Amino acid sequence: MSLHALEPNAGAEHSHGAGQRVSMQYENIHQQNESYLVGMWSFLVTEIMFFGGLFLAYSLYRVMYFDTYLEAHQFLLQYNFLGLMKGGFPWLGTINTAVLLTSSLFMVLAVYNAQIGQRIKTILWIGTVVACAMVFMVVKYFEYTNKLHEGLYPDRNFNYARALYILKTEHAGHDSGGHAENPRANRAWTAMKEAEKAGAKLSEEGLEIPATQTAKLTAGMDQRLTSIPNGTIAFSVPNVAFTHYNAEAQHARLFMSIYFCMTGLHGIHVSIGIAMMVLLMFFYWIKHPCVDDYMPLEMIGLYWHFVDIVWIFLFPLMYLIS
Amino acid sequence: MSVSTLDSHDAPVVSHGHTRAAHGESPYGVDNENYINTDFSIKSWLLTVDHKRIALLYLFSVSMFFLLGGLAAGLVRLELTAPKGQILSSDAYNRVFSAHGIIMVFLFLIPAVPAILANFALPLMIGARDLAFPRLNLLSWYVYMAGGTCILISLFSGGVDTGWTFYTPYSSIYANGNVALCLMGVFLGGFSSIFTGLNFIVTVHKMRAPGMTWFRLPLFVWAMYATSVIIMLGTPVVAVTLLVVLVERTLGFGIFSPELGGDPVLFQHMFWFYSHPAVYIMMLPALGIINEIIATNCKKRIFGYEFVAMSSLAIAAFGFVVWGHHMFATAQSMYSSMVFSIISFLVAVPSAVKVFNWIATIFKGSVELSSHMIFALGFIGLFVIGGLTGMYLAAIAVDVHLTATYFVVAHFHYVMVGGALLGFMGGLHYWWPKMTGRLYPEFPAKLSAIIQFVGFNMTFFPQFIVGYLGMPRRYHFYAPEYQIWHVASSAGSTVLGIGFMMPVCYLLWSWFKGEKAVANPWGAVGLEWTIPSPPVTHNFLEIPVVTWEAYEYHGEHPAHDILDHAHDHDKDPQHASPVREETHV
Repeated sequence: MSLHALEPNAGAEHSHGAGQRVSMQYENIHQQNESYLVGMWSFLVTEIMFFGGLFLAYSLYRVMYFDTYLEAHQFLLQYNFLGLMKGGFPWLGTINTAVLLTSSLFMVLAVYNAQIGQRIKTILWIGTVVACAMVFMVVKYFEYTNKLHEGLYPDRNFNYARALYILKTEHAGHDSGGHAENPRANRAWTAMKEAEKAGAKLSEEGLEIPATQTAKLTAGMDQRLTSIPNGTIAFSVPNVAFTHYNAEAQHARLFMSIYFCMTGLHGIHVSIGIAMMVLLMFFYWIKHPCVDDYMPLEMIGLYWHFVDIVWIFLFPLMYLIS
Repeated sequence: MSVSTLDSHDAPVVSHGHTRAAHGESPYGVDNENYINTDFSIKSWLLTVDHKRIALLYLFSVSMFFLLGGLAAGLVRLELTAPKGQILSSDAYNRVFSAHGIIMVFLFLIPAVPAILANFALPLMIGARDLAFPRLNLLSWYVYMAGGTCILISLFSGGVDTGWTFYTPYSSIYANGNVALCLMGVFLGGFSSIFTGLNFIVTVHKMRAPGMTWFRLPLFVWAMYATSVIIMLGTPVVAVTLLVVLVERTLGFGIFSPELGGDPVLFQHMFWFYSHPAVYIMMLPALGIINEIIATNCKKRIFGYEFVAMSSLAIAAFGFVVWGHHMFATAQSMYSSMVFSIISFLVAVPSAVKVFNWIATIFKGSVELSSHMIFALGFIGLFVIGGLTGMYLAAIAVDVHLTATYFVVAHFHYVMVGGALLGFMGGLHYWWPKMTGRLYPEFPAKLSAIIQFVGFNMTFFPQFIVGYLGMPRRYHFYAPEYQIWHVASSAGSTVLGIGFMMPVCYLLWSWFKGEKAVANPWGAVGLEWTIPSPPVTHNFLEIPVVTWEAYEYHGEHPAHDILDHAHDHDKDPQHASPVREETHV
């Protein structure tokens, strides 16, 4: 009660019950708790709008480039994961979904224990939530590094051919013992094969398009390459096979951009959640006065459920396209 | 001006059941103690959680940015006096008008009224000791300063030539300025305003004094509530949009990039989904201030109170469904354009509700032509011109002719400068005695209100004409036949500049040398006028119980009692404690 006693405040009163303090600006504990909750829910509304912008971009491009979405999302699946199942299945995404959903249950238990004043149990349950969140981030780390390794990081070095090549020759190989065509990846794969016929070299490193064709492609796409003489390039058209492949690759890069933006933003939210929960565990551990009140944990709980719900939308939209 | 002799020594608010004022001792403590003079240390200012002190922090920093943005505007006007420019290179010119736009929109107009005036007045007006989340309030100032610093660094280390709209793919790929840092600054500024808006929403919902029902709220509070709703729903969208541009620029992703099949117009949709409502973030608080000023200076309840309150919410709601009128000249489908055009016309209805109700309030009121009233009257005139030219631009066919001309520039300056800025000035003059405890000299204040009004019209009316004649906005060089209009506009801008510098001088002077203000210098009836000027740190010693309607100038109201009994409260302490009496009703 010491912190509050310092406040020169006539109107505030101490709460009944579990050590909640009423701050100077509130009349009583009910007003304070309700304000906290209205504040947190309002904040979550802003978060919904925050993610909403990206969901809008996702939806627009899904309508415009549905086939690309269908093909590119295969890179989010695992093939022959630990020998469990042949063919593509979003194993890592599923694990993350399960982990995150379970962590929400643990969060509820933590809040419940905080409300009835069970300090040690509260710390343990928050610890469990943090552990789940860590698992989520570790899995995410493996997913991301895998994408980067396959050339799917959507910057200028995006290498769709390499990813396609790995998907077809290595992963799909487990499917039926040979280079079986995965019917879902046909458009981009076909475009790549056509490009190969037109003179490009296909290998694990990607598609090596002849320099003259590259120049023509980039001249159309990127006006900044001013070193290319204007007159010769601007009106020379690249081979149609390369144009097709290029379009497929660029649209896939769009999809991967959205994938990294949305899951990255979600990952940042998970990380912030971890930081806040660790801080709160520390406060519970040292019996800091601020956690005599269960409201801080209650609000982080609300935040955590929100992070969970965002993932519930992200998972089907990214991993389960069909 | 109604003057009472009451000063903060004998403010009639009661603590603990008896009127200490009657015994010659202020219930608010000895020696005029108030929120300003409790502690003068730097630390006490930088770590304050008092909404009134944070408002002053904002007042200082926002004013600095305003002067900077104004300097950039002055440079632009100077440059445009000759068809081929005066002193700047074209590249520098682009950076200067971008700096003007970015500073004025994100660092001045959006925080000006909410973070300064509403931060100060809103808790006082609803009878609260502070906002719901005082520490969040302080955080919002720090985030604002961080954002402002990012923007300043980016502007002084190379600058940004994207304009304040950051249209892609120019901003994401081609611009060679320090765009990423600037985007980061705007992003942070957005979060600062989200924190403020969130604080207001919770405060208005949960912190109203007993008896302060929704329809007893001052209309400024209604306007701030509507503004906060817009801030909460709109700002996160532009935040994520700019974040994506930032990611595109720094990490090389491409979401708005046409190179990848992305849609740059999607950026414009997402940008204007916020940035159109954002003009109402700038406008609604000013509209709210005008209610307070007019009611006070006419000594009348605002005519059609409920309609004015609801019109704020209506403007907020309509504001979210008109963004497409910024894109009539893009590939947007004709049918969406038609719908956006029709809804844009509809915004005129709640706006006109406000204007007509103000006029009805002034009608047969005992109008006091004080300086803030002159600001308010100037506001009404400029807002009507700005609003009606908005109707021109909402008409698709006219807009196709006028898009990206100086007509648009003049239109939004009429609304933003003539509207929001004059409203801010009026509000600053209106609450200045409450904020500082000092009265400013009336004559220079009236003069500056008139000079601002005249200078404003001199600056921006020529731009309507030159825009209609075809002068495109943002151009550095222009055809010589437009020069006369540009010279007229630049001449006006010097008058406007003088008009803005005057308040800086006499307000600063009054802070130190001005006549001490009484609790209720204007004879107003808001709760903020029932406590001393300046208030004590926790505003109210005892939370008042409200039993009167808003703007009750002809009935029972503690503010009347303050005026009526200021002279005789020694004789009858009970009359000097109306707030307490009300609690026993």
